[in-house]
Amino acid sequence: MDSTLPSGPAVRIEGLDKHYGSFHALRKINLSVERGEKIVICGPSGSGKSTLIRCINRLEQHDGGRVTVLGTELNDDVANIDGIRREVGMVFQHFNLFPHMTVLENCMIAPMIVRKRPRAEAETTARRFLEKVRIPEQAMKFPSQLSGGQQQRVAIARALCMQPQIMLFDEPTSALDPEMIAEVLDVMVTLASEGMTMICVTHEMGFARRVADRVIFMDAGEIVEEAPPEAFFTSCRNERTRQFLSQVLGH
Amino acid sequence: MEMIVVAPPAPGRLEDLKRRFFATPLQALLSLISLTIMAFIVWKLLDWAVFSAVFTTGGGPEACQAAAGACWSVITARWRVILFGLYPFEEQWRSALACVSVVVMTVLSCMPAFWTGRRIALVWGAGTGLYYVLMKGGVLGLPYVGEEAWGGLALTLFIFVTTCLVGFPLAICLALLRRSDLPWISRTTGLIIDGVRSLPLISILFTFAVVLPFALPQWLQGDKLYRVILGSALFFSAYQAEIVRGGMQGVPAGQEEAAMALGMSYWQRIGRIVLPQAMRNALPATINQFVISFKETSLVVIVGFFEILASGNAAYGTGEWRFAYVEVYAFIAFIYFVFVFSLSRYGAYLERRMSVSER
Repeated sequence: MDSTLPSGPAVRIEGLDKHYGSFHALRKINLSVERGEKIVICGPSGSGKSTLIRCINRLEQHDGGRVTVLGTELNDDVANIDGIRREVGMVFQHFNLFPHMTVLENCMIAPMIVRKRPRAEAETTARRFLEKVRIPEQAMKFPSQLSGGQQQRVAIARALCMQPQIMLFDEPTSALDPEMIAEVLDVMVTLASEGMTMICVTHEMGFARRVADRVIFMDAGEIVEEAPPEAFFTSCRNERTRQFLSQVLGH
Repeated sequence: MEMIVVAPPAPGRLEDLKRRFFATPLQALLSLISLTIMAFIVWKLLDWAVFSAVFTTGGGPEACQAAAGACWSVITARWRVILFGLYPFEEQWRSALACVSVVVMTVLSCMPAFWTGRRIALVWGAGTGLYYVLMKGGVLGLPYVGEEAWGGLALTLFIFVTTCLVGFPLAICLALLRRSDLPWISRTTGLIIDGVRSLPLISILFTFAVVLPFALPQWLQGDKLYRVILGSALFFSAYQAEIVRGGMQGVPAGQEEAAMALGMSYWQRIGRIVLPQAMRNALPATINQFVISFKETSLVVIVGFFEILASGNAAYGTGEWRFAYVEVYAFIAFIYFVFVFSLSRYGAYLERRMSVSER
């Protein structure tokens, strides 16, 4: 789990299966993500895209196939899972900031209690990343005093403070008012340009076009289409993808 | 175009009263009648409690009984019995100090500055330790006084505080076990909680005080007092566990997920993320439960402990003060009120303090 780990993909998913009761959420998913690669996953709601990225840090347990993250296979070994989660940051649709802590404390708690960093170092790191997401002046406020866009940027900073090697984004802009989407996407673009490995579930096709190395379209628990953005937007082969794109891009 | 909004002038206090209570002649009449009745009651009470009351023991019980108002002399004469029960008279300063130590400990642990694991453990360890040494003696030249002689306010406070100290962590454990993913753990815990809740407190106290000694080997029994405290802590924890669980249900699932995604372990998630928020949600019900427990300490009289209410009975029940029970009960009610009211004001303070960060 060392950042100097030599080779191998960041994430390798082989034959992944996932059921919720009788509902087949993911069907034989195969996906490999290289280090530094940026993946955008899109698809209609209920297509399994959130479930897929939640399997990468084991917020969901898969019931078939293999998920290997940074060389470690995810299984029932709790120590393995906690180790992986330290290296995989996640940003949620509804931010999920801790409401009983200030913005600064939100960013400091995990490095302090999980990575056992001293308080002073954690604070320096937290302030640096708050600077990076352009809200250093909000450090002493509570999450509920911020706008949605600001909260989501704090959530990104909170994840970055753990200095993860992979970042997962689960519809980070879906709960935001339109005027706040840009400020969050800007931060994500910056992050991408610095070489972070990113897997983003999003419908922001402009973002996909700008930063993605590959765009993946999912429907009914399957990967239907997988292509670099140019090819994806101009010459997709599948009927369902075309239909989806016309809906997302149409207006 | 700009609109100028002018707020209507705020009505004066007097005008507000007029509007509320004297709007129509009938309303005015009703208001006046109620006002007269209230004034009459307040006057009668004051007259009884203050103006016509006797405060000194100078005239003895007879003079006191003859007076038109309250006979507070009984308190002057017997306050030591009420506060300290059967505790040896010459040693009662120890009981008083023990009360102070418990109260100081409680007040300190209510202050946010003491809310770190080490400080709170220090305060509680020192507080209960001091209480125990003072009450029991046998060391430092203090004569030994057995638990059976403890009583009055000192005993009430001790039972209440230890019930909470033991019961609260137990309640959190029960709540966490009930939330377990393993069905046999959560069901068993549920059964225990429901079982304890379905029993009357009196029967639990009776079982722990009287029945348990038959079932346990000698060395496990401990003094009756501690068995009774254990029983009342168990009862407290069953109710409090459900309150805590309710508070946890109010914490969105996303909170725990975010904590997981940051790599926090189970205990870190529970201790740093879930419980602090759950306790906020559960605060009003928790204060309620504390208040109920404080008043329920009076039930230990059935297993032979002279807590404050029973000591009060003893204070007027012997001989010459027999007529003055109203005054004794009023005094005890006042003591209960002081504690319970402080508790609920503290609850209100906590809610205010927490709402600052919610908004």
